[in-house]
Amino acid sequence: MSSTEQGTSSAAPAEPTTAPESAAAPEVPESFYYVHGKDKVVHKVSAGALQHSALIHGMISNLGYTEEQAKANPFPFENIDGDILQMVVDWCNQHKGKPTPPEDTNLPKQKEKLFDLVLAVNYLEIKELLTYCCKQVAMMVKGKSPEEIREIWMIPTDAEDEAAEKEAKKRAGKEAAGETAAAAGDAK
Amino acid sequence: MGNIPESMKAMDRYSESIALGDAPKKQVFDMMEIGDDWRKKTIMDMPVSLMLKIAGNLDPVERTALRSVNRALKDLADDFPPIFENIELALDNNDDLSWRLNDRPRKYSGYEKLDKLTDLPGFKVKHLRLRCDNYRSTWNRNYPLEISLSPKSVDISANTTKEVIQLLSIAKPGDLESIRIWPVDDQHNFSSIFNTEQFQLAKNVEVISLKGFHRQILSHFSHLKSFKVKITGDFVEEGFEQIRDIISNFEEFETCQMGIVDLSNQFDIRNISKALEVDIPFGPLKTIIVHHRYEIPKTKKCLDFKIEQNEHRISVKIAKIC
Repeated sequence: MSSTEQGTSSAAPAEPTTAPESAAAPEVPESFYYVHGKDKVVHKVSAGALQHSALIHGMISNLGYTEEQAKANPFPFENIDGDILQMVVDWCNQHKGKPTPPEDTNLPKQKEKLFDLVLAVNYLEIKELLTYCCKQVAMMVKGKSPEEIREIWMIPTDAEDEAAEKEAKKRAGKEAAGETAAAAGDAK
Repeated sequence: MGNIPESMKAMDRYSESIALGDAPKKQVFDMMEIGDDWRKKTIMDMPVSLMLKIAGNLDPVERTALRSVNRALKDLADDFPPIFENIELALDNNDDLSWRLNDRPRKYSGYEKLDKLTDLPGFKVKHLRLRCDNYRSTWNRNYPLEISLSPKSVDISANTTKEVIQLLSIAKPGDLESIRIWPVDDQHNFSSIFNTEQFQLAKNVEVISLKGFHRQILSHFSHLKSFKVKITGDFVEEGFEQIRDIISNFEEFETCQMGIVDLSNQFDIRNISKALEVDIPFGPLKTIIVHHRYEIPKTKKCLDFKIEQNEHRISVKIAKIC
């Protein structure tokens, strides 16, 4: 697990503490990188753990950051909630350099969290974790009726969908009309 | 996976904009806001590629339930090709149905889920295994079964000829190429199977146990490319030349294999070899093999025979050579 600290993406973070790594000391000093989510909490993660994420791994390879540069410029993932990024970082640390087990039972049970985790993991391109997450989402509706599936996955009916779309369009129309009126007023 | 339908594409653009955080905020707000409340994220906020990955974890029968949830999930479920290797159906005396898909351990009961599966657009099953689970009595059904499928091959296990015909009626003729019938205890009026449309349009047939075999039965096989029969009961070598003559007139014929269990020692391969003018060594032999090639009159084609006798078991393999 990595520990976290408050920080911002624009300023160099204070020294974050590192998670206890495996007992065997690596022969070559390991590089560390920094990531933060929507909450700006910076996570220090080893390059080995980050290898799970094809996206971050690609960014590291392309940028060729030194450790100092990496510390000064944490990778910003503003679209990922802080607690979700924490889960991802924890998973990457736990599975660093280890073969991934056939199942992962430590995924969030709360469906909203699980959905957010799926989106984050998909964005970060963490293949194994995405496989577990998708399986868990699927198992939520195993053997359920369409009505139960709708409830569990929080899916609107077609009628509800259409009503929401209509409402959104109506709102957009009103807003656009308001903006036009305001612009006309300004012009006068 | 086929083309992504429009309803799913729209959903995908929306969800990707949320997932990647690169859409203009106002656009995302418009789509997510319902009334004055923020809508919670649902599975519908995920890109289609993710939804397909999730749905791929459900078995095809469970996926049919997605089709009734909403239009987008119906399109998603329909993106999985509904082509299956095999379905095994077992019917009992009360018409209760149990079935399994693609040799998976999970067993389903009833017609409703099967109907939902077979109603999938483009549904196809290659092989159908049909079993009649009546241990104590035979079917008294005089009405057709409610199921109708179009497999390439069918494998039937039943106790009576009537049951075989009723189970065979599940497989629509036309696409059906191969039929296998496992031993039937009560073979009364067995020839009526040969009068079914399914049999008459099939190309390959295997009858695992046929009591008695004569030229009238063989005449029903004239349209087949290949057949395999295991014969018990009456079979005498005098009939062998007749078999050769009849098969030589089968235009579609390619190969056949006959296994004969001759417990009453009626069959003597030496008599056949004599009739075919093939020499075999004198004296007791554990296994006797006779090779024979028969030129079909007025054609350039031959029938190649390999007849093998091992105590009570006789195997006759015939292949047409052009």
